[in-house]
Amino acid sequence: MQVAIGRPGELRTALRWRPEWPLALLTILAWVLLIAWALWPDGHAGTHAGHGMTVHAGHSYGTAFAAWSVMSAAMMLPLALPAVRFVAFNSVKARRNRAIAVYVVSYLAVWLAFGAIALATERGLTSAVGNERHLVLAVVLITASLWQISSGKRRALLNCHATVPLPPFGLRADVASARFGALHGWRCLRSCWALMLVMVVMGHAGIVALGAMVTIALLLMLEELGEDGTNVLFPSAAILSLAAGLAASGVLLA
Amino acid sequence: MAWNTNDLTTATGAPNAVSNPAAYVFDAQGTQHVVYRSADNHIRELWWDAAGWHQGDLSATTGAPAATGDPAGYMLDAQGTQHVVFRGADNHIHELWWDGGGGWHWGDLSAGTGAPNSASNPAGYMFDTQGSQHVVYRSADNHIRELWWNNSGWHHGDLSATTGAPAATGDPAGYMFNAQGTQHVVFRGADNHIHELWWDNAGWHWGDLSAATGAPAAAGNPAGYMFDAQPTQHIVYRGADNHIHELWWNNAGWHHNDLSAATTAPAASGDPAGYVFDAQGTQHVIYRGTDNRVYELWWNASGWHLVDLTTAAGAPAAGDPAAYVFDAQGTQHIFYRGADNHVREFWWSADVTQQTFIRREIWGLEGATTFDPVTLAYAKAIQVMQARPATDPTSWTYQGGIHAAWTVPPPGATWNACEHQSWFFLPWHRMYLYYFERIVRKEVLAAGGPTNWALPYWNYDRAFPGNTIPPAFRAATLPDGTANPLFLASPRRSAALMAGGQVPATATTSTQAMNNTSFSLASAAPSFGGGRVGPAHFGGALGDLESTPHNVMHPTIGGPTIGQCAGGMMTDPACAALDPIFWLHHANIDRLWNRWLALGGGRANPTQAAWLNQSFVFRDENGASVTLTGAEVVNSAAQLGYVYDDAPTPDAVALSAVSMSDDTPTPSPEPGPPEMVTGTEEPLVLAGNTQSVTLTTPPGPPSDAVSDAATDDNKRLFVTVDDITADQDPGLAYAVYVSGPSGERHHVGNVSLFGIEAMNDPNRRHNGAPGFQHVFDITDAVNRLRNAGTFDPSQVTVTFEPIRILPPPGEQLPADAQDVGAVPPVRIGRVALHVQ
Repeated sequence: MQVAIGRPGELRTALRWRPEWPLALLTILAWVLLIAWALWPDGHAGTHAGHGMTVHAGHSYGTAFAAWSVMSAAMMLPLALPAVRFVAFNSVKARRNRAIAVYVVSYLAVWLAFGAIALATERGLTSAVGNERHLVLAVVLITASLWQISSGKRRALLNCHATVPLPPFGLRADVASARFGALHGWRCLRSCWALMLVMVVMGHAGIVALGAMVTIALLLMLEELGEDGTNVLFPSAAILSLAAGLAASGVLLA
Repeated sequence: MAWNTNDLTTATGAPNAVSNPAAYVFDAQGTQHVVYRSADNHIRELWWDAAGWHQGDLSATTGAPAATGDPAGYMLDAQGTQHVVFRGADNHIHELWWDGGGGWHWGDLSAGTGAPNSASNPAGYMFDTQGSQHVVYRSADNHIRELWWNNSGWHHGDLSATTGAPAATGDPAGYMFNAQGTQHVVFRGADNHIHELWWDNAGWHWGDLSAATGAPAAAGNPAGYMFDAQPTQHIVYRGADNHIHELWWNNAGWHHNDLSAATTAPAASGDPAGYVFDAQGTQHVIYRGTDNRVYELWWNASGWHLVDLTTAAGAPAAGDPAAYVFDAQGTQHIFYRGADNHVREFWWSADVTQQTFIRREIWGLEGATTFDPVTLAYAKAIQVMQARPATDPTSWTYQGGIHAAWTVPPPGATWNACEHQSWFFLPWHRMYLYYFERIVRKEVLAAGGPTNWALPYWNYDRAFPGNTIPPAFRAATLPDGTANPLFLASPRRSAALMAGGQVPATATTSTQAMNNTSFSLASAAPSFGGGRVGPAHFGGALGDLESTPHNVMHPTIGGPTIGQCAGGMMTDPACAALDPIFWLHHANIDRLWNRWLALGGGRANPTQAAWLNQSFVFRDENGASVTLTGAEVVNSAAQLGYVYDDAPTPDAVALSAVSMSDDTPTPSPEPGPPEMVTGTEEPLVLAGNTQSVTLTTPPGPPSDAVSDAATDDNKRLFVTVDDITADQDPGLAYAVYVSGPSGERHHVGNVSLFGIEAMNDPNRRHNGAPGFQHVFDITDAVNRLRNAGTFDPSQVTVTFEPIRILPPPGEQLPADAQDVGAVPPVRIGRVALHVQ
């Protein structure tokens, strides 16, 4: 919404119409951290592209999980901005900030749980597969491509926009916020799990991984926030298939 | 009839006429001209060009002397000039002529040629064969005199002396006959015979046409014209019996025909005029009846026909008509002086789209007969459209599919395009109806139906029987015995409605929408036309008019849905346009848009480029792909050529309902978003029963905020009904009421699930989530509650009541057609109260 900012009062009014602005700031912060981490993964500049978050690449599980948390915040919070608006406008003023905080924590928790499980699984898989990791990436990319054009994806994408009615006061209100966060996270997970799996395999370190992060983040935003997100599905599937080809030939992972 | 009327005097601000008008076309400039004498004895001109009708005072412009009687006018192709001749108060024949370089000039032809004074009106014509022009009149000695012009100037001749013709009376007329290369002057003799003076290479000759044909005595002046295509020439006059008689010539000679007898036309008064319409191959004779109506006798291959032009809303006539054909546009024009001394016009267009169409209310049309011509033509056209395959863009199926469809669209078809829940709702449906109407009209014309056919509308917001489905939609067969496509039996339409039930006012009212003075707002606050979101099948930004009556009427007419279009067709957007009543419903919505604009008070269409420039694709009556933008449909009369039969005057009812207090202020630029103060704790399920919830606001700041907003004129109160979900449309809508702890409840709007199938379908194009949100502005209702002393800010009760079809007054609906019982459930997540 365009509001010309001339006087402090008008800025305040504009911000009231955009209650998700603190979250947007948080997201930007997360991206800054993420970019820094990608370019200087061990405190020194390196180009260890795509070593993944696995323990054997020198990163402890803890570091990998920490990186994953920041990545989730950076990539997933933008998708939650409309939901945060919803929570803000549908909560009474006294409870607003609390409601938003409860929602965000609950929402991110879903992604963190996903990350924890996925990282552990990938760790086990890597010890078994070893040098064929680029094939694992190719498989994941193909899976993501197929998922994009499936009817399951369309259904999940629609449900991702569903909201939960928020009672106005008391414990019920908190529970509803938390429930909304968890449900929203779960529904969005059902929509974008395949793309996030790609990030699990690619890791957080290096230019290529950063490029993948940015690309996937943009794709997700077009899907979820765009006016007709289903327009993106076929083109994105094509891009993912192309990437799968590149991965299989070993280009994407050293 | 495809005749239109026009009041040229009012249109141009010209002074009133005291003479008969004369009319001619000026090919060299592509203009049309009508001349007459005004009360000040000036010769006035009404002339038409691409910019419309204009007026001029030829006498003032040229300094010509005072006129008397009726002027005449003609063009001279050979010179590219136009000429108006009249008899002056000095009994001289004067000429006003126009050329390209110098404008209008005046000449005194009598003085110039030494011709004797006139005792009649002059007539003038051009003679192509010689490149000359001729003016004829009767002199005081009852001779027919000629003033004729060629390259060596004006000359005078005494045609009666030259030919030995008998004494004349009245006014002569003249014309050329290209097929023979002859010119002809006709007059009524003192013997009441029609005499002819005609010229060929051998000079002037005289003939007594009445004697030659045995035609009855004349009582008025004759008129004559050539019909080159046949080739025949024709003279028409009023007989002593007040019949219009015709003397016509072909290679076999002169013949007589009593046109009035042939067509059983009413008695004539005054003098007729005649002309040929080459493009159509028709000839036309027009006259004023003794009843002061203007009649047309026209001829085509199947003979002479009678038409009463005055039934096409023309004013009564007070003089003789004049007429011409304007080839450049393919139109014919008739002019006459009305009883009010205005110069009036009837004009007819071969291209029916040139007229302004009037969309009429269906109950007004159906009045006495179930199948009036307009409704019958609609039904017959639909039969034709329904027989076409879905791949044909002008087929019933294809047109319905443009809205939405369950079936797979033909390759390349732009189906599933309807715009809902956004500010594009109104323009898109206007365009949709516009092309549909053209497609239907083409079939109507092909079948010989009314040439001014326009889509009827159903104004259901009226007392019984106006709020019941029109009779033509309940009759199973047409008068010709074929199945009536307008008839849809239950379950495809509501059984109660088909049994003659009434739609209640809660569904049909447009008061809420009309009171809202903003077409669209950036915020989610209710607006007339819908919120500003991009084009979408269901955009999530519902406008007031779309909500009520539009969204309510759909399921109310349709009833419960069954499968894919097996039941409740109007209820399901993917089937709705296949029910012929859909178009009458949307014409009504479109009409309300015009009425809203006419209310003024700041109401206006959006000016944003995003709305004006957004284009949508349709198919026209030839199946061709066409595009329209919002900017091209803002004025239905000027841009799309139609109006509704109700003059858009401010609706007294709507204005008085604006507010109990003075004016409800239009929402000024929103200071901040609405603040929620309270809401329900648990979801609510509606299944065809009435339910209430009470919104309790805790004491202290929240409750204060509510009472603050209730007393502050700049603040507004809203009730939102959120997270409305359903597996299917229940086949009815719920009326929403607001009340205090006691006392009356006030209707604030309706909740309809129209479009829920699309909202639930991941494969359909729409914005937003499954389910709906409705926002109701309850400020006015709260004001009323306050004035009644029943408002309690801490307790606002919201009631949902299913809108059921009622039986006709004093009757019962049949047991199997009553609108009662449980319906598929609707789940409401929360009802909340907001303050802004």
